[in-house]
Amino acid sequence: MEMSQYLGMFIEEARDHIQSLNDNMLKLEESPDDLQLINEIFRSAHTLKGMAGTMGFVNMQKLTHAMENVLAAARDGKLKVNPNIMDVLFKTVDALEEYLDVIVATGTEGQETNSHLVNALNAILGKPAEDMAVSSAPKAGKKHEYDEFVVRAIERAWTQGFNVYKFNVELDQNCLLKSARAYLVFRAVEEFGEIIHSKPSVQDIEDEKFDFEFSITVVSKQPIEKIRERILSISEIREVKALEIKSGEVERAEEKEEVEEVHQEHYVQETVKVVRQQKQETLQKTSKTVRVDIERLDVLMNLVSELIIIKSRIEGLAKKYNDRQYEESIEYLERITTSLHDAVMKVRMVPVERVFSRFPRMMRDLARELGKEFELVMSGEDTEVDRTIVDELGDPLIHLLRNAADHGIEDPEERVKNGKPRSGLIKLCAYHDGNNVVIEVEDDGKGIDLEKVKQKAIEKGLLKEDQIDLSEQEIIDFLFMPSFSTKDKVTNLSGRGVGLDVVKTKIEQLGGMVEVKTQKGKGTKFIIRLPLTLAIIQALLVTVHDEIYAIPVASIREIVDVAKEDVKVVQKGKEIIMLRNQVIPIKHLHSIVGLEPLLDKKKFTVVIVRRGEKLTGIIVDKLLGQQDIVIKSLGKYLEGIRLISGATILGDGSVAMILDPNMLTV
Amino acid sequence: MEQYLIFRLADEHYGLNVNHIENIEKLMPITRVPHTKEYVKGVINLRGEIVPVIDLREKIGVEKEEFGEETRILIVNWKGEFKVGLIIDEVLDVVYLSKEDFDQATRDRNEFKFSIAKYSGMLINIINLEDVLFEKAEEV
Repeated sequence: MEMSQYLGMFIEEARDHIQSLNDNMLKLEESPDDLQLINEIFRSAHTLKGMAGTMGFVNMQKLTHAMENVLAAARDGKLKVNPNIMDVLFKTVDALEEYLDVIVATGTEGQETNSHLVNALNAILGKPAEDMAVSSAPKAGKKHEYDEFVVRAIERAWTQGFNVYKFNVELDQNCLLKSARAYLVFRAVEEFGEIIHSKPSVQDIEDEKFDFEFSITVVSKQPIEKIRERILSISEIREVKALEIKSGEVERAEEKEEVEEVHQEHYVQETVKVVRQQKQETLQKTSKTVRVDIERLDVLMNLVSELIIIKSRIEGLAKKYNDRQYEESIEYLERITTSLHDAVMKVRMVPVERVFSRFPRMMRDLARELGKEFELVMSGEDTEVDRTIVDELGDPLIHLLRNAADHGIEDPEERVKNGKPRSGLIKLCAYHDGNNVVIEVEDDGKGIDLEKVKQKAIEKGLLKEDQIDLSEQEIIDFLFMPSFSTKDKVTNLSGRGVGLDVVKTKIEQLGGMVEVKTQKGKGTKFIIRLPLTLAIIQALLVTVHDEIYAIPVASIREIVDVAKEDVKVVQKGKEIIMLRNQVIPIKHLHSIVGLEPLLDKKKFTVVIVRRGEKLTGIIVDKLLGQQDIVIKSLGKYLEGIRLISGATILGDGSVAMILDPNMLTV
Repeated sequence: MEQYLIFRLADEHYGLNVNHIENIEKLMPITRVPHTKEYVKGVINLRGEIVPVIDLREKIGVEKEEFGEETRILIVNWKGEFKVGLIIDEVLDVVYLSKEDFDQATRDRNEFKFSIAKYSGMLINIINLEDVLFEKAEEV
């Protein structure tokens, strides 16, 4: 069977289910008696099992099956959830996630059977694995469990002289269209009687969410053997176990299964139809959203970008004609392209929840691992960011959160000694600020010991001992230096430093920046500022000789004109200007991009760019003005040019380089 | 039998397997990209796509010359990963070459190795695209 087209769907959906497993299990840990939650978790596990089965991921299926058994026991009140059980369940979910990762990478689930987990899960139930293998198989002498409605239907059938049979149908392993096969079985059985119950549900069977077995309960006046033979006459049926249910063998299930929420009156007459109808309603509800491949959105985005470029070009032409009607149409075009652009951007936006959602689980584990007590409080999960940014955010945030837990939050005893609440607080929040998205990671721990950082910097030879009058910011900057964080020594340092350079690099690649605020004894706050979107930015176009360059407006603080004599040369030929009593180092764009110096000028135009708190003045030839530009990649062949962050196409079709402001300030 | 595009660089004939070639473009404005190798002339706007352009003469060490009327940019696609434009002096022909057309001998020119094919009296230096697009190990 051609599976590849379903693989993407499987992966997306499995991720959702694993996420909701994690979420709900965290909640369950808080309130272990919440049956609603257990039910929800059970359902996710059940669906995962079915999906894995359909895709032929046997190991994954076995593991979810064992998990489902435990959850079923908990749901039926046969088992009480305790922390040990939760740990095993969490580990199981981790293992499922690992399967998924392997599936993403290779398309197969790999060889890992996770038998220790399967055993651990079975051990919880106190039963060897085999016993649990076929939970739906009818066993002689065992009571048959149905919910209220079915039980009543069965009882009524008996009083009317019907027999009640249960058939356990096993399809051939090579069967391709399982649901079609099952449909034939249903149809065949309906020639003899009414199907009053099926397991899994009709909907799940239709969706092929079952392995190779399903069971149906039938009321009929025909002999059981006749029906069984009729089922067996359908091809690709491997086996049919038939069983007559006698009175006294039926038990009411306490929980209603989702499938069976059907009104009693219709039951015997119209079971299948009603269930189908109901399921259609739920289907309609879910089909309001569509999953779209991000590449398709990229194509759409590119087309919109093209449209914006050609629009600018037409605008330029329109000025020549000076025709009112023409101008009006252009204005209209302008409005449409702007709205279209906004709309496409919105489609690409996803809530940061996508990354945030895995953190509560991570922090729970981390607290246990470190033997610390802290709480993670998240806010602004619904803040939306461009999809490409969200996907890249995970690693830096994990880094910062780990840092906060590991280096920031003190041991409970130490906290109490310092008059702080025993349990620490780590806050993760996201919000919009103009054209930026801000994400803050804040802890109420001990803060960064700047004195130690300074010592470290001197040790590393980054700082001379006589350079003592550094600002707080300058000291903090050391933390982000790649050479500052070496594995062996930094862990001795009470402050941070582990991998912060990685965090910074990643955020800067995304066109953002990181700031740190820290107070000794009070805590530390990392502030990440990111552009809302990567594709279109406001830029200032400047020239040097006949070349045009774009500088992102977000990183420009101001533009000043400076007389030649006000540019002072300080040590080693470095140039500076004084701006409102602040020393600002100066660079010439011509030398940055490797061109000849400009002709002698009496006045310079200086674009002051900032990176964090650091300012640098860039002397440019001329300013052309500000406009929206579409960022395009220079492509793989030219990657690695640090100064240039991309290119853009101008209104006249020519290409301009976009300068990376982070590189300008170095 | 495979198809080759035959083109001219200075007074020599070169060939490139057409499977690599997406389009042949006339010369268009090229925007310089700072801090790149000398032979990288910059990027062009190929119908909305930014494509780097390299001067094949400079890359393989043929003497530099002003671009002329017949100068073309061959847009080649490297395994679907990226596109590069190769500036050549003149497109001559597209021909079928079979194994028999190739010489046993190869020709070394600077650090490049060309297979040699004969076609209606012409000697054609067949270019290995990988050599042209990627730097030799010692340069990296």
